[in-house]
Amino acid sequence: MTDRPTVLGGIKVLEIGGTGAVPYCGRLLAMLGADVVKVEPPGGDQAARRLPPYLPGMPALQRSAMFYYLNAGKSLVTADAATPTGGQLVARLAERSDVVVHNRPQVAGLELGPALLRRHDSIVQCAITPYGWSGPKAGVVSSDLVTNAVGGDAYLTPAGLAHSWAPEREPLKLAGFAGSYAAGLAGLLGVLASLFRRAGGLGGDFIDVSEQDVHISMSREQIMWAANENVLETRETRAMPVGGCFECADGFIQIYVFSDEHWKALRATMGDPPWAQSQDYATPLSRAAHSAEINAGIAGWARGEKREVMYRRAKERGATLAPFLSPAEIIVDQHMVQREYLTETELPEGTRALVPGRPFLMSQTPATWTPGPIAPGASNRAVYLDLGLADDDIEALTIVGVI
Amino acid sequence: MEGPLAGVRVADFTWAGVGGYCGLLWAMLGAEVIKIETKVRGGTQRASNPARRVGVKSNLAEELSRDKKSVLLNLKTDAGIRLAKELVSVSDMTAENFRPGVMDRLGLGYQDLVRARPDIVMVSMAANGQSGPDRGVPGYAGIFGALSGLSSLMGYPGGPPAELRLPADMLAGTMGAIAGVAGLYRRRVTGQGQYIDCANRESLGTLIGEYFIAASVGRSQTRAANQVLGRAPYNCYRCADDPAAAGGSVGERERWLGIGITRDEQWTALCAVLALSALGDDPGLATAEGRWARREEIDAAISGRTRSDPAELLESALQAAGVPAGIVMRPGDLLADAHLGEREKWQVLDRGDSTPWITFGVPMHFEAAGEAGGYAAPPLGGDSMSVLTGLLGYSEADVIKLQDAEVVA
Repeated sequence: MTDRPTVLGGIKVLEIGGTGAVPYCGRLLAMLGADVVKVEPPGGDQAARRLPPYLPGMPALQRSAMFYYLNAGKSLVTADAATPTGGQLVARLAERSDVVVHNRPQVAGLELGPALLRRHDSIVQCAITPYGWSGPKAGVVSSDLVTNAVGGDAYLTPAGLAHSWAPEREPLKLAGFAGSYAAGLAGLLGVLASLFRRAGGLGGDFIDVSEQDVHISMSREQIMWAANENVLETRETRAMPVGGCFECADGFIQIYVFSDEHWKALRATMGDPPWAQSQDYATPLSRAAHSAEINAGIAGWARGEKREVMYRRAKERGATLAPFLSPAEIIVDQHMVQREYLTETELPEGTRALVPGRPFLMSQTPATWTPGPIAPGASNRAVYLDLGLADDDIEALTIVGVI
Repeated sequence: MEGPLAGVRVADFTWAGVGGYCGLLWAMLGAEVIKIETKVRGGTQRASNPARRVGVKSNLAEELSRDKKSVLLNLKTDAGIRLAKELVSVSDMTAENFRPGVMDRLGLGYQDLVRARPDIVMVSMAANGQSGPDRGVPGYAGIFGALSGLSSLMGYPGGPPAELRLPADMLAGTMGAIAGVAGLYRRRVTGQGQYIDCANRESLGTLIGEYFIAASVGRSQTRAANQVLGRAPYNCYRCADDPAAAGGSVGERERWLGIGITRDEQWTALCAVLALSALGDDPGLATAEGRWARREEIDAAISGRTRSDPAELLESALQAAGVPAGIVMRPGDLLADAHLGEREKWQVLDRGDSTPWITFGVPMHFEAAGEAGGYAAPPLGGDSMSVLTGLLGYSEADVIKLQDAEVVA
């Protein structure tokens, strides 16, 4: 923990609902220094707290590494927002917040969206929903996998070696919940831009983020090809003509070859074998025309080499080649260790673990990781006392199941 | 309606996917983004790109330059560097995504630029960041995707990892955009600028933070296709082939439907819609645990039903029944989608000739501030004259002299 100022010091955030995009947005807001209060249903969000990967030896409902990553360091409160009393608590929390991030939950007595902006014009509110706030699909249920499907990127994933290894198999989503987190990033950008505008004296805003839109925007190249050039890319045609993923003695490497400089550096990395010296491979276009034989040559070289040796030689010669690394390998990767990419944190029950504790390095207002308890309602007393409730009120609301 | 970043000016030195998308997001949110381009980089970017497909022009650079201005400078001349600094001196933010050291060698590093503009917010987006032994590694999406850990978790079990392509550039660029706006907000509150080192590899790693936590306590995960532990069904299922693409390749013919259920009642609804009554009545499948244990049987049963039906019919029936299901959409499906049409997400940009440019708009909507943009990319250097005269106070004659000296184009 640092005493240095943060970007969002003093900003109060209320986060309601969602298992991926919304909590991820809140995660980064907390890393940037905001005070984030997260509302869960009484007993905790059963779905979110059961998402993998699982951690050994943790209490029930605190076993999810994903839930810990997304929510540690937030003030976790519980409230049954569907009841009038619970809804009123959530409404009061919202009214005293600078930022409200949600997935359009039902909150009794509180109309979210443009209506909230009209009533409280200084609140920056962001709704992250599968298909957006408006339009015929606005209320349609979804999940992370479906977002990847309807966003246009799954159709083109995987490409290259992973596709040709099993060409009949299904399209893939992004790993883990990265597809949902992507929408959380868009929400975060919107929130920060709106806070910037508000700091200029222009009041709050309501930001409508559709997870589908976020994915389409990321796939805009293929969509424009289809729309303007009548070219349809498929997982098969999307393979790079030269380069891509290659199997080696102890895993896989990725190679990118476009310019003549890339090709020269790769030749040097491979020890400039005779086959690679062919004049047929001298220009980008001629290499593309001979891509199958070039890739076969690269594959033959890679098969007998180890990732670390190839990566070292590539770095010396400026080749665009890198190993595929797993999280376990990245944790001990010297480059990442020197950059202090991973921060130590304490899981429930005192287990030490490592976590990516910052999205980027800011020279004046560093982002920081804030550990904290993740038991359901861990901050109920602190937050509700602060809201003006007495201990007796809190106990009564707990007994009747409102919080 | 001018966007939340109205009034912000950016001196944008970026190129390629990451930097291009970062600047595009700023422009769409209302910032005046002035791309400072050079003949080599700018020219390469806008030319055809044989790394993609032979004979097809990649218009990615043009798409990513929309809503921006373009000033073409010769940064190999002192006068060109001076002009670049002058542009920074009238800007709020600047960004670059070269290899570490390139901007310093040009005399355009943070230490140089902060002298031109003491409260500048500067974002650098290198593959491996600005420090550490591997900072010099050149990076494209596939490279920093491989190094990030994200790729290693994608692919079929037992198979190779899935290389990451443009979506990875866009994700890293979004993080860069976030970093910059975070800096701008802080600057507006305190008056102080800063330097931000936004490493693309780390931006992607942040999207799989839970896998780092698990790995650090000895629980490493491997590639699992679409599988999410504890969820079933959760996969893409092949539907009837597209009759309109009957003579095409498998990739052109195939249709897939994503079904990813998260609640028990969705399972009941799914079985009803697909007429899988034996499965729906099976008490062993009523819980997530039970379904997870028999996920292969469930996948086979669903595929057996979907293979003969059109994806559109299945999607609408399942969505109407409250089952999370969606077509694995192709570009054409998206362009024809009624929901997106009603949300007015498509834009037609006027390129000043007879070929309008169809493109996707801003991936977010601001109720109060609105969004900006909707303008086609300028030609390389298309705004050199207006920016140098309007913003920096040069006369037209001055600019023509600079053009003759090949400092400006």
